[in-house]
Amino acid sequence: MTEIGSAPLTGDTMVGGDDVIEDARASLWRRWLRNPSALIGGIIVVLVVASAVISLVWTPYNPLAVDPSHALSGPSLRHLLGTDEYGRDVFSRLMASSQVALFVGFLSVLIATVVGIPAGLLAAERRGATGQVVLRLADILYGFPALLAAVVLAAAFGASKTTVVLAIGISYIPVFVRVTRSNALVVLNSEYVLAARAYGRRPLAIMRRHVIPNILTTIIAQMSLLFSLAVLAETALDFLGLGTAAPAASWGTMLQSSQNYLGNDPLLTVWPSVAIVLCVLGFSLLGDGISELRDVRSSR
Amino acid sequence: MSETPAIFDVRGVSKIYPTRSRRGQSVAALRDITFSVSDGDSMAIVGESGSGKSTLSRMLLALESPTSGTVSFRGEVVSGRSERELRDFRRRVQIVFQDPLSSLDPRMRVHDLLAEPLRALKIEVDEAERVRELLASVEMPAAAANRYAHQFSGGQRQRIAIARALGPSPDVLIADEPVSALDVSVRAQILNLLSSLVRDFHLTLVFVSHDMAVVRHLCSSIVVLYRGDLVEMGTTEDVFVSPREDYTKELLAAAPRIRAVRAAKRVGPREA
Repeated sequence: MTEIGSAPLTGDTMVGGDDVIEDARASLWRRWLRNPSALIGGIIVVLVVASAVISLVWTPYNPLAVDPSHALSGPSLRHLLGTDEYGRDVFSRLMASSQVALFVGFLSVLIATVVGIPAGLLAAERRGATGQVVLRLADILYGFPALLAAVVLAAAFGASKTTVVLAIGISYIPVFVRVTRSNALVVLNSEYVLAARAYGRRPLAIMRRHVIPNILTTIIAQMSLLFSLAVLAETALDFLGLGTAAPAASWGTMLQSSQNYLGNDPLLTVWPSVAIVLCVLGFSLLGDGISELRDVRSSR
Repeated sequence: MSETPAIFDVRGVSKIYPTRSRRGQSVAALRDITFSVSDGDSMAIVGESGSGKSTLSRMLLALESPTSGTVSFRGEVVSGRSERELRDFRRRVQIVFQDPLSSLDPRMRVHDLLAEPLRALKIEVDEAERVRELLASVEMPAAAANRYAHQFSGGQRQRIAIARALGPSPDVLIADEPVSALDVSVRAQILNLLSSLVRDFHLTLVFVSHDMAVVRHLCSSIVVLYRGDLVEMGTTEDVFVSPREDYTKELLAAAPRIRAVRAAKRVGPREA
């Protein structure tokens, strides 16, 4: 009987010292650094966000300044990534474009979460008729692909960033409804929720105290993944001319206009493509990384 | 027998779950169960898995309503009542589950785990003081309050779950297989702790188990369930000495650890 329980008062069976709060934070940080997806994704996301923030106050050149005498000049010391068909600095335009990508990504994920998460929680709590109605509505929305919705909205209200945000945001609502509901159901069926009901916690308090804290990491990981898909959808819509209007810079429009000059300067196509791939990769890696970090606690 | 109503009075309780099979059959988890638990009693509900004992414990907690029949607590029907009406009941009846890892929220520190029932039931106490008291009563150090459940061993987690149940100073403790998820080596300690808490706090114990050896160690009377039917009921000694039903005899025969637990009981004082 030299078991753990035979000496319940000694510290050796407990992890950590008195400063467990700091311990937990430190170990989260350490795990973050040791997880390649979270680390690389995090670095890329920080770079993209930094370039968007910096471009608000400074870019090497005005991204809209036309300079016909230096059109399609190719990479040089003056223009790091060269200039486009109007002589505009490509590097500056790439930086400015990251604003558009983040703006659309952020707002569309916001719309999807603000509607999708409460709807998902409702569907989990009310498993009867109400829940079924919510799920069927989500299924109907799921039937409209983002691109089609954007085309319809653009036809009705004209092409703009708002159109793109609405189209992408609405089309991702069902994803959040389903992810939230399925994760919330796991928590609601747990014994700790049964215990909470046995000491008189009501459904709303159980949502706030048990369900939301326990599904939060999954939701954040999902947000990061959908953010990357939103950026991809945004560039696709811009490429099709359904989003950002002509002179303003966005990766999609840059890619689109570079097509005509593939023979003159093929690199013009490469730069926005690289930016898109990096940004999408960054957010989806970060999402993967976060969901991997989540599992560590329960498996320890 | 006496004027004071029993703690629990279960009368003709049945629970029928509809199934989704093509034939549209329904499954009776419990059929016409009648028994009562008197004040200060320690009653075992015994049966193999699928016998309906967990369903029954959920009904004693008024977390599920019987399809027919009633469950009363101190003479008042609790099944089907609103949470508002059940407030006092919720304070008086607490539960300890089988697996403490799943019955303790992984995102909460022990302090919050133990304080939650006090907050939910609006019990006016100094939270930190009460948490320290509760941890002491299950022989855990006060420093445990800052940690999470996953940082403890199985036996320690179950101590935390027991401390949580003691928080609202209940009259009744329902223990749903409280040691079957634990290492055999720590079972005896948790059982000894339970029995001394029941004695010290004058608790009425409803002990749900499939393990006859453990039941004999802890309980004064027994209800035996078999596939939703109550097949035998009586004091522990009667049931052990002269079981009337074949099923009870089988259960007794299937309790190979009687000696082990007796041995553990003998060395008990040294570890407790």
